[in-house]
Amino acid sequence: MTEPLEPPDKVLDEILNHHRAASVADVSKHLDLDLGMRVARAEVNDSDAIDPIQAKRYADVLLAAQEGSTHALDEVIAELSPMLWRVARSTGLDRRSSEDVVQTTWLALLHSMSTIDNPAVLPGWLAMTALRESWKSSRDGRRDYGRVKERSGLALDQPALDEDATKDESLGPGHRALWQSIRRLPTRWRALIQVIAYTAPPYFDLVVTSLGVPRGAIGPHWDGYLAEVRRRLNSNPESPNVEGRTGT
Amino acid sequence: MAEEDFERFWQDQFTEVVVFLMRQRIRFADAEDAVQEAMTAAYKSWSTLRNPHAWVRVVAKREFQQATTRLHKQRAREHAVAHGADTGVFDDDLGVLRQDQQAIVSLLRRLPHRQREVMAWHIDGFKPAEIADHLNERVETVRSNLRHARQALKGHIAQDGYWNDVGGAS
Repeated sequence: MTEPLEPPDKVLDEILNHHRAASVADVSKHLDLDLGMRVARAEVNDSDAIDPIQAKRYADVLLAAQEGSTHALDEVIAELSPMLWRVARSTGLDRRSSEDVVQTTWLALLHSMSTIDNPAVLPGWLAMTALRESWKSSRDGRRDYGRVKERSGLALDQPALDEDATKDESLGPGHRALWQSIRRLPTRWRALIQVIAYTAPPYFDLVVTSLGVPRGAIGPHWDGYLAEVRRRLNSNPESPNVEGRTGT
Repeated sequence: MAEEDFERFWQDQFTEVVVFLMRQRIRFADAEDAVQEAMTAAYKSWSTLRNPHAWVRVVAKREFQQATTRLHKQRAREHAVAHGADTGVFDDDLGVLRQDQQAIVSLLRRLPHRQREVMAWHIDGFKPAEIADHLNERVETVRSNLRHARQALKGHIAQDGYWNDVGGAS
């Protein structure tokens, strides 16, 4: 039996050259370069717009946590977890998986906190991590990635998403009415409102940009959403006195 | 360099560096994360980078290594590699490639660590002297690793009949 014939160097070079171009072409179909660029921009540029007091607070918290203070992160976790949970839910994950995503996101922060150069971008960093963890968590993450991409970073059809809020007994009747009104909004608006509702005002832009909504798209849309919620609240029979509530 | 230059660099190099890492037995999802971090770091330092193509490859590899160390995965992976679990175990992420390209990345992943690394740089068009510079190695060592890697690849290609499949021999 003869040894298989080895290809000459020239053929190996041809194979490798072809491989370089073909493999990049294949993989590029599975990447969203524009989303990645927007995330980088949010991380690098938007930090200037952050409230310096909040930025210092995050820096202090991260430093204390790094130095081993066990409860340093408690307050920030309580503050930002609802937003992260909404981010996970907005990709279509169920409650249980979303809770896992929130946990994993905080664990990722514990592992990576020494690499966060600019603590001011912490909410955006967390939102992006939660989004990525959500994609990983879904059974066919890559396909979901494409689907979420088509939806500009937010899932559009999550029927049970805001039922959580409307059934929450700890909310007063006014708040339940508010969520019920939000529920009747178009799905795209609902997803955005729910993420924003759990994000502190200075971070709207940072978080939402991290989720892939184009910069500048939030302001005018947000006013529109609020106006629509207000209109629907006024026509909600369970909402005896709604004036001013939605403006807060 | 200007912002538009960076955008072009991002579009041109992001996927290249993802595949560069995949050839070095880094999973697609981990490669994507590492490149996102490296490219963001490049964006922050853009005006000061003299050789961004090489810089982003070095930083992406380091980002991956730091991430795995942080997550305590490194030991588990090295253990798996040392015990020969590398055939197939690390290839379950290759569905993002067509079959012929899966075969090549799989061959590259079977090379010993140093040869694999040098070959990844070589495929991306870097010369031995540049590779030696970026990996902090002697150029003779790089050349030697490259020669062995090429020899091993030719052997694999002959064995696997890939050469025949692409019409190289008849």
